[in-house]
Amino acid sequence: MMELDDLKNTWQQFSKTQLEQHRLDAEQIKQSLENRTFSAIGKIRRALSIDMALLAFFTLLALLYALFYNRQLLRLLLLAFGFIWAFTLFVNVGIHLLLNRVVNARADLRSSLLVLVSRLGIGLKTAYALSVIMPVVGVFFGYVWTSSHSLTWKIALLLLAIGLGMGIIFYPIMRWYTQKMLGNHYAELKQCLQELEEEEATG
Amino acid sequence: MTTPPAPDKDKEFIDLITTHQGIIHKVCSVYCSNESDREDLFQDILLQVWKSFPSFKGDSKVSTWLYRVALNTAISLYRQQSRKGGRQALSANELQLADKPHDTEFEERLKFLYSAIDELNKVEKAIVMLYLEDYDYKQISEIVGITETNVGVKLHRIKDKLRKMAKTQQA
Repeated sequence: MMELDDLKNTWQQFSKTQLEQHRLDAEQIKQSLENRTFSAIGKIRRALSIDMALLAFFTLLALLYALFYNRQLLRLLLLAFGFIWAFTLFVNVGIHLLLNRVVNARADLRSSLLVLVSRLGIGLKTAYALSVIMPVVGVFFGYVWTSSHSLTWKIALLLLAIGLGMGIIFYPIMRWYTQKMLGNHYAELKQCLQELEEEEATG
Repeated sequence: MTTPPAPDKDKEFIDLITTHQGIIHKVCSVYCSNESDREDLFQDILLQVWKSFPSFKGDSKVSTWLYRVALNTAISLYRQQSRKGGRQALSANELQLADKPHDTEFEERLKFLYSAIDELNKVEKAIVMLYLEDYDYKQISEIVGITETNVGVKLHRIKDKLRKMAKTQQA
């Protein structure tokens, strides 16, 4: 006949099995989130390489044009692309370091992913702001650098208006490009982070 | 009104739930008959634990405190549902045994145990569960909020019920 004390072992064995099953489910979910994160990271790395290749292509195109058809422009283009390359390399190296940090910190994926998502978010907003600011700065300093006329208030205002106009045109293009290159992968990482936090919260 | 834990307590709370989630799962399996109800109760218990967490001073063991909160939540919910007549008793057929390697004797004993638990009232369920978890009378009395003598009397009745059930099953 089954007594309550005899059933203790059955109960504890079943509880242990159930707990292991719950832990296994949590592990599987975590593993799947880890895979999604690394896949998004791989796509961001590929997007950065494409970005560098496109920049190299346009740099070469612009410099060849200046070299063969407009030598006066060469100095300005070298300066402008010098800045663009320095900035792009700085940003790309920074992103790669952040991505490496996530890949190397599997044990605490959530913390490193939190840093990556937060910095990428700031980076994307900065890129959108720069897409408006940079044409203004470019037009203004381009004029100062190349023109033989002195800068008057009237010309300064005109340059500002031209720069802003270019910025307004450039902004949606830049936004589309950034979204295509990084935006979707950033959204995926954000989603992974959110699910990881939910998963850790519910155990 | 209960104040939720401060943000710096979040991690502590998550760690607590991660470590002791088994307790909540066990309470849910005893009081709920199907997966959907178990999930609902799990969320209700989590919410109550979250609300009670700031007032937990560490006077008792974490597991004792967690059992108290989880069982109180399950008992009050069980009472509400019973009034509405919505909550059904736990059915042994609904037990998930698929993950366990096939062991007929184990399954039979488990089915018998859960069908016996089904026959008990809400307080008896809590007592028998804690007893199966190897808690002594003193600890059970602290968690359920009845005297040690009362725990002894109720356990005696539960054991009697169980013997009768076993006899009926054998017959």
